[in-house]
Amino acid sequence: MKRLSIVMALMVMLSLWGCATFQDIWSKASSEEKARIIIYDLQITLKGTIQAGAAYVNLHPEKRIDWKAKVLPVAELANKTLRDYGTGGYTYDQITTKVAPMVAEITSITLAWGVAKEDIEVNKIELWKKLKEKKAAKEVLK
Amino acid sequence: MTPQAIAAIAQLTAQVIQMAMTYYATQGKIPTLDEINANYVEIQAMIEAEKVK
Repeated sequence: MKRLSIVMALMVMLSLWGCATFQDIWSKASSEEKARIIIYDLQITLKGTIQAGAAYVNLHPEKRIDWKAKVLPVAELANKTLRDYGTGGYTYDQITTKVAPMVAEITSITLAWGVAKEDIEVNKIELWKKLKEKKAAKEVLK
Repeated sequence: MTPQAIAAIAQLTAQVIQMAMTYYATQGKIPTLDEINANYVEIQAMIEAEKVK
């Protein structure tokens, strides 16, 4: 019991430290850097949603026409809009207000078909995991 | 400003912070424009592959 309490206390301390570190980074980041973080995250969300949708359509071919006509064009536009931030096509505010509804539209269409929200989340978690592994591998090579 | 608008802004702010925390917890650094462009290429390839199925 005592050991469990110590572990719990350590976990709370570590999470508080992590939040403090993050808050520090976030408050020091320029608005351009914050924009890049959010845009990157929107890309991961888009990727996870496309993966979950594609897996669903493979199992339910009757949805392929809608997939091609309704989802892929929105996904393509969202992807290009996110890229346009980097090329100076839009400001960060314009990007978030334009792209967030597009990603929400794709998600709502696929959820209405029956794609599980958990599948999208699992894909996102897997993508983050892969990025973390990639980063760790790069550090080993340094 | 209506209470709904205030609530919507508060929700958006919370989401933005949550997204940023997820990113930072995983990467621990600010993404570069090259990384954003690499993601664009990858997503576009996924879309193109789906188009021809």
